[in-house]
Amino acid sequence: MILKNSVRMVMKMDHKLADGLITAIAHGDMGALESLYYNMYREIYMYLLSMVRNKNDAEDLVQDTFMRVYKYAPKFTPQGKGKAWVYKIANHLAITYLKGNERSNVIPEYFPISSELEENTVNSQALHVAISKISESERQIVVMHAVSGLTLNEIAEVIDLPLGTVKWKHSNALKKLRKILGKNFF
Amino acid sequence: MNKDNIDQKIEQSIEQSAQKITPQPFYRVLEKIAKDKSTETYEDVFEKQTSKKNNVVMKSVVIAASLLILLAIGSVASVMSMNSFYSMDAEADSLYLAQTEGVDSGSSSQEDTVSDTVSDSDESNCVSGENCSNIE
Repeated sequence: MILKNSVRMVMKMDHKLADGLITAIAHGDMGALESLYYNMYREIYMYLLSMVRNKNDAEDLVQDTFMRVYKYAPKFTPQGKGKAWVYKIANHLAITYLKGNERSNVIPEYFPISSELEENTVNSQALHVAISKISESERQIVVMHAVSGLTLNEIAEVIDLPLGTVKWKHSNALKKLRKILGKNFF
Repeated sequence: MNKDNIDQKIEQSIEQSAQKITPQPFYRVLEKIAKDKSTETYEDVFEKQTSKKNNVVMKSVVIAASLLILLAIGSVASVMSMNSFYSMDAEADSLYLAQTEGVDSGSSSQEDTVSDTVSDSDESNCVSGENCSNIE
């Protein structure tokens, strides 16, 4: 499926749509690349930030991710796993970055923190503190699962861990977050 | 509120918090594309990740094969050492036998010498025509 004159739209990015955009990128459609970039930026950024723990480096790695999406799009085979393919590129970049750089001990701001209570959601300040307290691998999995819409099976493929391990870490992360956030926030 | 509802709310909160992040402008990606001098290949990005599992399998196979080879060498070495032990025993036995035979063969050779001497003297007597009955 080739999208003609793709425009920057905010739409729910699923695998099928991602497949279509990547196929269009392979044919040189820069509009498709821009669309994919703006629709996946936040989730890729949060995922990279959870790993590298540095805001500026995470932003730089997001740009690198989409540069490589453009570079390797001609080799992509649409099999309904477009989003996971982009995450694999991001994961590879994060691993390469961590091999050459020390992980920061400073807790980054994972998302803009607001002290206002929002309806039907956990207070972002409390959530930020809670996410900072779980282990890195648990944070990586729970953030990816929350923002990407990928299944745990797909996440296991992206980060190259057994499915059982991913399920256990996901469950454990949520258990810890429930405990840290406490009953007051629900 | 049950556990599943709470988990759903937590993940929903993470997702909604992520929506507040402001993306960097797209032109930065275009700049990266223009400056790309990466020598990394497609295989570098995708094959390395999947080959991690293969590497673990390969390492296990190599270790198992090495252990089998060591075991085989050990078995051969033990068999050879057993053989050499038995052959040393056999050598000792044959040496012992040779020594005992040597004692026996020494006494019989003396008798031969005596009998030769007797036969020589009989022959010399026989030349003269006498005492030739012992000579054939």
